[in-house]
Amino acid sequence: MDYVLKTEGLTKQYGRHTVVDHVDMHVEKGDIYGFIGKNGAGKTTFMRMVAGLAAPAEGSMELFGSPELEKQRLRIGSLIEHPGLYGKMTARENLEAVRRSLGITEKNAVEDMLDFVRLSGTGKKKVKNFSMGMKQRLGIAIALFCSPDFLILDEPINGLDPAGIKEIRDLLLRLNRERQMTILISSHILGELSKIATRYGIIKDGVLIEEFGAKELELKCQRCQKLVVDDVDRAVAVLEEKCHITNYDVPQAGVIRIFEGLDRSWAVNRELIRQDIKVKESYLAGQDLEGYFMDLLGNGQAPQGETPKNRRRPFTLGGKHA
Amino acid sequence: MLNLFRAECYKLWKAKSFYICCLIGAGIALLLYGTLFLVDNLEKMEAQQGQGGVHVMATVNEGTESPEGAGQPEEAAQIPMSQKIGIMGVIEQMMSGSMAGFIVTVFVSIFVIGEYTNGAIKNVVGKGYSRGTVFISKLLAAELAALLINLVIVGATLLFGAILMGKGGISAIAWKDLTAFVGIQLAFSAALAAIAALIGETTRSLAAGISISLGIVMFSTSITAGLDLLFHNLNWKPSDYWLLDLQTTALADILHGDFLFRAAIISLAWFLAAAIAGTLHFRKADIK
Repeated sequence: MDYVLKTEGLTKQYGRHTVVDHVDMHVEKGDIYGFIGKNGAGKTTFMRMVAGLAAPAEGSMELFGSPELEKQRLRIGSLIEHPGLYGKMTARENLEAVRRSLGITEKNAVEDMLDFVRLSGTGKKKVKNFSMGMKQRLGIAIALFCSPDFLILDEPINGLDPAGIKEIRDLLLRLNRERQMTILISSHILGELSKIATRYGIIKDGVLIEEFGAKELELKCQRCQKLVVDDVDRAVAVLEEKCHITNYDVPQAGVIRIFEGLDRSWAVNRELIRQDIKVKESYLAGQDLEGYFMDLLGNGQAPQGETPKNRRRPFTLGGKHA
Repeated sequence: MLNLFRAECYKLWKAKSFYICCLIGAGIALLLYGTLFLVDNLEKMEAQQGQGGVHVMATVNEGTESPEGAGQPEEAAQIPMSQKIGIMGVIEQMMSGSMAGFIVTVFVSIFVIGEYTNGAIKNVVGKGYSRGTVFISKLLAAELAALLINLVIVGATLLFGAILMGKGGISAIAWKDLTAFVGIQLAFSAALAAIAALIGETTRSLAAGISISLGIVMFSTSITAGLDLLFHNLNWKPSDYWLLDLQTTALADILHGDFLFRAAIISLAWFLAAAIAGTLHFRKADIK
C-alpha cells in the first residue's frame, strides 16, 4: 500500500493527560481523509504532530514511506487551527513573506497563487479587514505555496457561510483531482465532509476508534430491513426462494440485512413465520452519516447499522423478545 | 537560513511598529533637547529676576574686577545647560539612560511574540528548516532592528543637535569618544535584544513578554545593587557582569581599552547565552 502518512502508536501527553493515545493512522495516496472527532478529541494535536509543530511523546510516523520527517515535511502544506496571517499586511504581502521564507524564486508565484484562491482582487486591503472566508482561502494559499503533495487542513470551513463552504469544497476537490493531492481534513460539519471524503478516521478521547472507506460507510448507512432470526440458513433460503430477494447480507451470526423491497417488509416477515422461522427482531434500519458518526462518537464503538433514534420499534413475532 | 532571514527582513520593513519605535526614539531625543532649552530659559529668567543670580550678574558687569581664579565658577555658571551637556550628553542620556533600551526591548518583544500571537510561526516551522535555524533567523532580524533603532536615535540626536545648537554643538563632539561609546552601546543593545527575544520566545504572550523585558530594563540594576551588598564580604560585584549596569556606567569620557574589552566580552557572553537558551527552548517547545 502506498501510504502518504502512516503512524504507529502516536501518543501525546500534557502532564498526566493523554491527548492522543497510540493512534495508528493510515492515509493512502490520493485520499481525502476525513478526520472526525468531538472538540478536544485530539484531532488538532495529532495534526500538529504530523506537521512538526508538536513532538510526540511516543510512537513513530512515516511520511511518504520515509521516517525522515524533516525532509518529507517539505512536501506537506498545512492549515492548522486558524491561518497564520499578518493582519496589517495585504494578502500579497503575506504571500510574499512566505515566498521569501520558502526560497521560491519565481516572482509570479504570489500572483498565481492569489489567482488560484481568487484573492487577486483584494489589492491594498489589509488582511485584518478580510472576511472569514477570505482569511481561510489565504491560509490555504499559504499551505499550498510549497506545492505540497499532502495537505493537512484543520477545520478549514469553520465559520464560513454556505457559499464559502462550497468554494472551499470545490477547491479541495480540484486539488485532489487536478494535482493528485492527498488531503487530511478535519471538520465538524460532517455532512459537508461526507461530500468530499474518500476515507474516514474517527477519534474519541485521543483514541482512533475506527478507520474506513467511503464505500464502507455507505454500506453501513444503507437503509435496510434488519432481521434477527434463530436459523439464518433456512431464513436465507426462504428469502431467495419464496420472496425472490437476492440483495441481502449476513453481517453477523443470526442477523440478516435486506436491501431491497423495503416497502414489502411485512411480506418477508409473514413468509418467514409461515416457514416456522423464529423472527426475534425485524425492523427498518439505516441512518444519515451524521447519525452514524454521532453514534460512534457517543458509544465509542461501531453500531450495526442503526442508531437508537432511527431505529424503529422492533417487530417481533414467533420468538423471544430481544 | 538566508531565505528565512530575507523573509524576516521583509517582515521588518513591513512592520509599522518598527517605524513607530524609530519615531519614538527620535521624538524622545527632540524632547530631551526641548527640556534642555527649557532649563536654559528658566535659568536665564531666574538670572534676570535676580533669583540666585545677583552675584553672577555682578560678575558679568564687573568683568575684570573679579579676583583671579574666582572667576572660573561664575563663568561656568553662565554657560547654558544645553551647552554644558551638549549633543554628546544627550546621546549618552539616550543610550546609557535606557531610553534606547526601552524602545529596543518593546520592539523586539512585539516582533518576536507577534509571530506566536498571529500564528505565522506555523508557516515556517516544519518547512524543511530546523527549529534552531528558524529561531536564529528571527533573532538576527531582531538584532538588525535593534541596530537600526539605535542608529536612528543617534542620527536623530546628532541632527537635532546640529539644528538646535549649530556648528558649536557639532564641533564640541569628541568623535573618537562618540564612536567608541556608540559601538559599545550597540553591543549592549544587541545582548539586550537577545534577552528580549529569549523572553518573548519563552512567554509567547505580548503582555507578559513586554512586562518582563521592561521590568528587567527598569529594575535589574536595583537588584544587582542589592546583590553587590549581599556579596560585599566575598569581594564580588555581580553588577560588574550585568549589561545594564555596564551600560549605565559606560560614559563617553571614561571609556578606556580595558573597560571596552570587558564590556564587549560580557555583552557577547549575554548575547550567546540568550541565543543558545532561546534556540534550545524553541527546539523543544510545541507551537500552538
